Amino acid sequence: MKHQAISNSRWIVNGGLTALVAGAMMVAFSTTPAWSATSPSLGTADAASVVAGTTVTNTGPTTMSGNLDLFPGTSVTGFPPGTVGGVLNTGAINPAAANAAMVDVTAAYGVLAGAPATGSANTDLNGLVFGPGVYAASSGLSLTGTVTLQGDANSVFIFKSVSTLITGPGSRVLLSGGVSPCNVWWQVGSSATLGSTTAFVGNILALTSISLSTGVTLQGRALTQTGGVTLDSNVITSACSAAPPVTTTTVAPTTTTSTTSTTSTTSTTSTTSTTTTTPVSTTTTPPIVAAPVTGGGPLSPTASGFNGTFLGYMGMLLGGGLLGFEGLRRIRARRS
Amino acid sequence: MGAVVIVMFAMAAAFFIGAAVTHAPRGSAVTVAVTRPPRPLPTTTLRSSPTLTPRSMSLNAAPVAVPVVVEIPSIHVVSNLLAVGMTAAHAMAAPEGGANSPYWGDTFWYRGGSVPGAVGTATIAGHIDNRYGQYAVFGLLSRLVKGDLILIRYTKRGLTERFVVTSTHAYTLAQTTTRPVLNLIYGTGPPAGRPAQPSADGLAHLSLITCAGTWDYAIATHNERLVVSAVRIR
Repeated sequence: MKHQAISNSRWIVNGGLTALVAGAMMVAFSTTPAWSATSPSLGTADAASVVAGTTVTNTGPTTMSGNLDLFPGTSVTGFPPGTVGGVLNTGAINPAAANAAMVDVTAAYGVLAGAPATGSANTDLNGLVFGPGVYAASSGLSLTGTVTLQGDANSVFIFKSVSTLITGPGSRVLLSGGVSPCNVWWQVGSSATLGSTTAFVGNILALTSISLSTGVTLQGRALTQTGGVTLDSNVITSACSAAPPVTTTTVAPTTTTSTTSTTSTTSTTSTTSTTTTTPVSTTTTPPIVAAPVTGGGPLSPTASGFNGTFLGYMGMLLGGGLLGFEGLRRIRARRS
Repeated sequence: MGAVVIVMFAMAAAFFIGAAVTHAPRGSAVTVAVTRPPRPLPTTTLRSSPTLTPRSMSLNAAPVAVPVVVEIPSIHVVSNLLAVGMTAAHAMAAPEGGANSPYWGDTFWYRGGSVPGAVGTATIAGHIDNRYGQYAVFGLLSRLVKGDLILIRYTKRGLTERFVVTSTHAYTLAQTTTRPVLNLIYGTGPPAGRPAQPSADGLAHLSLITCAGTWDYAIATHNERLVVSAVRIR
């Protein structure tokens, strides 16, 4: 009971902050009607965590819950120490599946790019609250702090950038009111770069490349077409399989009392920790992620048995035999 | 004196053999000898939760020898078994040592997985070659074909688990980091950070693993891993 009261009061404070921010900044949330955008279908790429065209380069213990599809490229490096929770498909391994995922990503990118905008998002998204809709940026999208997406489980959010998507270190995408992570889409005209330890939510469909800096967690997918994906100690979880965020509690934002900067920081941090899915903590042993290294060096040609040395000995035997025969023949010829 | 010994023997036989003998008249050596059915063969099944190493043993601890011999008659392997853990990079350990190290001739059992013969997946690795590039204990593993026999001899208990090869497949290094292949190699427990789990099909699986493909100088290891899957037979 006591715990309930504490958590309620926290959401009141958080909701109050949301209302304060919304009211103070006059953002789209308060003026945009509930526009019913629909999420595009990802087809076979639905099972993917990463889709790339040229290369996938990883550093550190990256984990991803879904497939890794690379087409037409074949270069996947850094696995291990990285792990793929699903299937690894490349231009060399199971190319048909990798190609199918790439085709589906291209189609979804086209749907997103063609969706009519209902609002604009030209400034830094830091501190803004968005309702469902399609938001277009005429230049690059940037996020240096926290952006809040407010709606319900059916709300769809599409952000479109003609060029880049760049987040600063420690940036966060916060879902409020039960927004499903699988309904958040980022269509990027060139490349996306997420700064270190960014906690990002949504499917990123970038035309060229996506770079996740050290410690970025992505609740969604990193989908590129022409370029590569760079990873560094990241956790990528499926956008849809995660439990709904705790912010689905229906406590109405009623009071706006004492929303100082310190309380906003703490409430933001606590909420984000519930929306980003981290690996299960119930492990009793460290997970094994790779096969053993079972070779001392390159196999020597002598190991094959039928080799130069063997042929040399056979040649000497044959030559010796021929000489012996010739000698015997000459001895017999002399005697006769 | 002699009759007492015979009676004790008959009672012991009745205890072991069961109801078939309990109705036979006792006290006569001849009767016992005639009515005794063939003794049942000693069971080759491991007890429910066998252990080769203490459960408290850290996976980061050094390899320890266990009283098990691995035999693969078709490729002339007779090898001692070491219980190994994992490396700092969370891969199964495969100790190497110097050029003349005995490790090149030893096989390694991953002690985070099942015991060979228990219901689950046991993993045994061996080197393909040594520092000179000469074949090591699993140098000829790629010659195993479906149906070949693998014997795991528990020397201390005097029992032998028999496995037959069901499939062999070489995976690239990148593929060996994916969950389906890791599950094939180690079973479902260790890749999820859990202890060994019973297999879904209720069978005792054994995975033999060694290097394959070609030597990659950039990463100083072979670019593929050969996985031989086997299943226990009685």
